Amino acid sequence: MTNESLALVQVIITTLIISGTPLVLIGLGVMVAEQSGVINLGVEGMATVGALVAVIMVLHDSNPTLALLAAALAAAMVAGVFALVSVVWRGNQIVTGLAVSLLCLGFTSWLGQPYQSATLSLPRPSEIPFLAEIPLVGTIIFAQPPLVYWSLAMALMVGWSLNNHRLGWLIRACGQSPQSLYALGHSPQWIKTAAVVFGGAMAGLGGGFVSLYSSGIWHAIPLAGKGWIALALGGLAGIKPLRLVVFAYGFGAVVAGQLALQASGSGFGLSPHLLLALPYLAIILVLLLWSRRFKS
Amino acid sequence: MPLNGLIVKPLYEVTTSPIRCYKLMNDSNPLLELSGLAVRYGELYAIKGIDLSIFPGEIHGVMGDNGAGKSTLVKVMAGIVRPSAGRIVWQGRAVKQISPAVARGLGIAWVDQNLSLFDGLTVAQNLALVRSSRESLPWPKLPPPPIHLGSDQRVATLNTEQKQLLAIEMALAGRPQMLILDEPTTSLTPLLRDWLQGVIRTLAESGCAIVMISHRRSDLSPLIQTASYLQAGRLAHRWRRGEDESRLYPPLMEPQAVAKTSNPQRPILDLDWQGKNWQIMAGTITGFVFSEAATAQDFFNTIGNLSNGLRQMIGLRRLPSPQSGGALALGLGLVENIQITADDSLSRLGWLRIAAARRLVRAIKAEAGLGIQWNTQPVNQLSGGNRQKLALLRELLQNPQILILQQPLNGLDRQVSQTMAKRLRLAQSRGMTIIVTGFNRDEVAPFCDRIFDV
Amino acid sequence: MFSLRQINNWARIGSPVLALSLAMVLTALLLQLLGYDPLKVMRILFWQPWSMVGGFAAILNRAAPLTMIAMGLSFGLRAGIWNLGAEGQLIIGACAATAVALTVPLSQPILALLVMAAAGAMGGAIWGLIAAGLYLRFKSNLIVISLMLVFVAQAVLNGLVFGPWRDPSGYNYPQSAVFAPQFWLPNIDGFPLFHSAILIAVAILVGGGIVAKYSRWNLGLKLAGESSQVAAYGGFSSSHQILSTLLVGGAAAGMAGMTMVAGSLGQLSGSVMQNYGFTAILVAFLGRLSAVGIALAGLLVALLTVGGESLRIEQGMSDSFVMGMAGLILLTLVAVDGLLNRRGQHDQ
Repeated sequence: MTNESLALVQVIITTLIISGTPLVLIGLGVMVAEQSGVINLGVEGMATVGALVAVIMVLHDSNPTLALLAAALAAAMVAGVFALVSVVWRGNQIVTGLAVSLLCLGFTSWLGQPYQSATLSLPRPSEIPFLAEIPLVGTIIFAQPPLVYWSLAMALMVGWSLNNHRLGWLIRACGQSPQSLYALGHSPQWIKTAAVVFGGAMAGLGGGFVSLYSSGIWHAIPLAGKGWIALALGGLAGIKPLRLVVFAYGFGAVVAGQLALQASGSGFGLSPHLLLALPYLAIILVLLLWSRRFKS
Repeated sequence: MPLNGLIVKPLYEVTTSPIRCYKLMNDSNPLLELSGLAVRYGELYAIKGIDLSIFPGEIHGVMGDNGAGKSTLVKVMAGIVRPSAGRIVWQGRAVKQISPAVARGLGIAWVDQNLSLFDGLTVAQNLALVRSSRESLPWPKLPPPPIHLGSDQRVATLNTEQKQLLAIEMALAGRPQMLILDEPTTSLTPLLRDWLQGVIRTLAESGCAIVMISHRRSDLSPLIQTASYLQAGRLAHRWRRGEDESRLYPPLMEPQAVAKTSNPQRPILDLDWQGKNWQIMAGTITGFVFSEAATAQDFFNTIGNLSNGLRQMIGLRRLPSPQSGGALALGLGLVENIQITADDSLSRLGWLRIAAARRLVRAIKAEAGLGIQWNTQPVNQLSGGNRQKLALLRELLQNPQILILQQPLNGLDRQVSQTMAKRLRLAQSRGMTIIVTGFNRDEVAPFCDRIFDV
Repeated sequence: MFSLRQINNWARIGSPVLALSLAMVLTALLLQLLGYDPLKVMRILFWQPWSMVGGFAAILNRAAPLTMIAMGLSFGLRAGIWNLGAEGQLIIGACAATAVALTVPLSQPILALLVMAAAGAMGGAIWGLIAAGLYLRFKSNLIVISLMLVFVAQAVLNGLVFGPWRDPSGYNYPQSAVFAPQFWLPNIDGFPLFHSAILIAVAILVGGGIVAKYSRWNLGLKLAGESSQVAAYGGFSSSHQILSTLLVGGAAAGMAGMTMVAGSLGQLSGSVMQNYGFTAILVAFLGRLSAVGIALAGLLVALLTVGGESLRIEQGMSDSFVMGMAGLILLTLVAVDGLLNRRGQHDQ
C-alpha cells in the first residue's frame, strides 16, 4: 500500500467514525423516545444546545468530559420543556418539536456569536494501550475520543434493556398502548417524560461531540441537519441499536466516500454537491426497503 | 335460606366440584362498597345512583343490554374511569382518588373486554409488566390452563383465544383480591371456558371476589351467586341465588321472522348475506336483531361498503351507531356535520352548497330544538340524545329511498327513543324503507314491521 | 356559566395573543438577563420596520412567499398529514422556474412569467408527490421521507448553482446568471417598492380561503383531522387526501420559489430560501390554518425578520435571534393550547 492510499484509508476511517458517532448518540435517544411513543422533532435543536454548551464549557476550563456532561444536562433540560408541553400538557407533539428546534437553533446561533470561530484546544485523546499498536489502522481506530467507545457501549446497553429488561419492556409497552399500560397501574406520562429526557441528554452528548471533535470550532449551524438524520435512523432501527450503529457508520461511510470522491476529483462526472444527496437518498432507500420487508 | 341478602345454602351443582361457601357472608365485611356512584360524560349519565356491595368470595354478575352501563361500572371499580359522584369504600376504608394504580395496589384486577395487551412484546414480557407487590400473599393452587402459551411467542402472533387466555393470566398474575372480568369468554372454546369456571370457583373458595360481565347465560348461570341488572345506567334489579332468574336474561326469541303488516309489498332490496337471502320490502321498517357484535358489524359493512355513486343511485343512506363515534365529527359545528354525508342536494361538483346546508340545519333545529346557539359551535356541546337526533334527522331529511340505522336508539333514554321511533314511523308512512339493527328485540320491536333474528 | 367549550372558542383567537405576549415577556427576560435593553430591542423589532423608508414594503415582500407556502400547507396539516418537506418543494420550484428562465427562449414577458410560474408550481408539486407516492407505496414514514427530500433538494440546488448554472461572471459565487428582464416579476404599478408577488400571495390566500370554506375536499380534510372513522363514513379516501394535499402544498411552495427567484434577486442563488419552507409551517400553525390567520401570522413573522435585520445593523445582534423568538412564540402557543384543551382524559 502506498503512503498516499494509506493516508486516504486513514482519512476515510476517521471521517466514518467522527461523523457516525454523533448519529449513534442522538439516534439512541431518538430510539428510546420513539419506542415510548414520542416522536421528538426537537432533537436537532436539543443537540445544537448541547453543541454550544460544550463549546462554552471547554473554552472555560478545557475539560472535555465536564463539557460533555454539561451539554447533556442542558439538552436534557430542553427535553424536559418539550416533555412538559407535549406529554404533560398534551400539546401537539410534532408542532412542539418543531417549535423547540426553531427556538434552540435560533437562540443558540445568536448566543453563540461571541464564540464564533474560537478554536478549541483539546488534549489529544489517549490511545488504548496495545490495540493502538496494531499496524496501519491501530492508531486510527483505537485512538479516538473516549465518547466514541462510550457510544458503542451505550448502544449495547440500550439494546440490552429494550430487549431483555423490564424497563425496556415498559417503555415499549408505553409506545404500543399507553391506555393498556395505564390500566395495569403504570404511568405512561412518566415513562414518556423519562424517555424524552434521556433522549435529550443523548442529543446533548451528540451535539457536544460534534462541536468538540467533528468541527473543533463553533459555527452557527453546528449540527447541519444531523439531528434530523438521527431522527430518521433512530426510528428506522426500531429496537435494535446495533442496527442503528450500522446505519450511522454506513451514513458516515457514504459521507466519507463522497469526500474521497470529491478529493480524488473523479466523482463519476457528478457534481460533488449532488453527491452530498447520496446519504439522504440512502436513508430513503433503506426506509423504503425496510417498510416493504415489514409489510410482507 | 337467605341471610343478610346473601345465600348460604343451595348451591348449584354443575360439574364435579360443587361450590361451597366457606365463609358465611353475613359475618364478613364487604370487600368493596359503592354508594351513589355516577359517571357522567357531558350531559349524559353512563351510570347513576349505583349502590352495590361485593363480599369476599362472592361471584357477582353484572347484566343488562348493550349500552346499559355495565362496562362503565366495572371500569370504575378498576379505576379506569373516575366517578363524577359517589363513594368507593374498600375493606371499610374510603378510596378518595381511584386510579388503576390505586386499584391494582388494593388488589383489584381487571380483564378488559378489548384485551389490553402489548402486541409487540412476548407473552413473558407482557406478564412481566404486571405490578407484583402482592407476591407474598397466600394464593390458591389454580387449575393449569389446558392450552400452553409459549413464553417467547409474540402476542401479535397469538390467536384471539390465546390472547384472551393471556389477558386472564395477566390479571391472575397480580394475585388479586377482586377479579373483574368483562366478557371474558367471547372467544374461548368450551375447553377453556370450563377451565375458567374452575379458576373462578377456586378463587371464590379462597375468598377472592369475582365480578363478571357476560352475554352468555351459560357462563353466568352456574356461577353467579348475586347479580345486578342495569338498565339505562341505573341499577334496575338485584338478584341473589334462589330467586327467579328470568328478569336477568332477556326472553328467548322465537327464531321466525314475524310480519306485522298484512298487505303484500314489493321487495326493494334483495340481500345475499351469510349464505342466505334476505328480502327487504319497500316502505317497511325491518329490524335485524343480532346476538354477536361481530355479525352486526359485518352486516352493516356489507351494505355500507357500496361505492358512494352506487349508494346515491339507489338512494341508500346509512348511519353508524352513536357509540361507534363514526357518525358525527364532534369537534366541528352543525353545518359541517350536516355536510358529512352530503349528496347532490348539498354539494355540486365538489363544492358545498352552504345555503342548502343551513336550510337543512334550520329544519333540524325547528324539529328537534337541539339547544345549540350557533352553527359553528362544536357538536360535542350537545347531549348524547341530541347528537343522535341530529345524525338521524340529517339522514332522514335528505329523503333517502332506503335508510340503514345501526342501533339507532343505543344508550338513549326512553323519551328520546320514543320521539325517534315516532319520527321513523312518520318517514315510513311517507314511503321510506328503513332497516334497523340492534342487539335487543325490545329495543327494535316497537317500531318494526318485521324482525329477523340473526 | 363558562364551560370548557366556550373557553376553547375563545382560545381560538385568544391563545395566539396570549402566547405572543407570553413569548415577548420571556424574551424580554432573557434579554435583560444577558445585559441587553429589552425595551430597545422590542422597539427595533416591532416598531422600527414601520417607520423605516420602505419598511412596510419589505414586510409585505417577505410575507408574500411565507403566506403562499403556509396556505398550501394548511390543507394537509388540517388533516394531520405531516408534510415537513415544504422547504424542498420550495427549492425544486425555484430550480424549475430558473430552468425556464435560463433555457426557454421566450420574449413576451407575460407568457414568460406564466410559463415560469407553471414550471415552479409543477416542480414543487412533483417533489411533493414523490414524498406522497413513496409514503403510500411503502406505507413508511411521511415525516422522515418529506424531511429527507429537503436535503436531497438542497443538494440538487447546490449541484446546479455550483455546477452547470454557475454564473461565469459571478466571481465564483454559487449563483446563476441574472435572468433576462422578461423573466423578472415586476413591482406593482404605482408602488415602486412593492413586489407583485404580494398580489400572487393575496390571490392564493383568497383562493385558498374560498376552497377552505366551500369545497367538499376541504370538508373531508377537516373530518380526517377529527377522526378517520368519520372521514371514511363520509366517503373520503385517505390516500387520495395524502396525494392531493401534497400536490397542493408542493405547488404552492413551488410557486413561492418561483416568486423568490423571479422577484427581488432575478437569479437563483444557493442561499435564496432562507428556511422559508420551515418558517411557513410555523406561520400556518400560528395562523390556525385559516387564510386570515395565515395572512396575519405571515405579516408578524415577516415583521420580525425585517426587524431582525435592523437589530443586526444597529445592535450587532444576530438575526437568528428572531428565529428563536418565532420558535418561542410557537412553543408558548402549543403550551397555552394544550393547557386550555386539556381534558380529564383517562389514558395517562
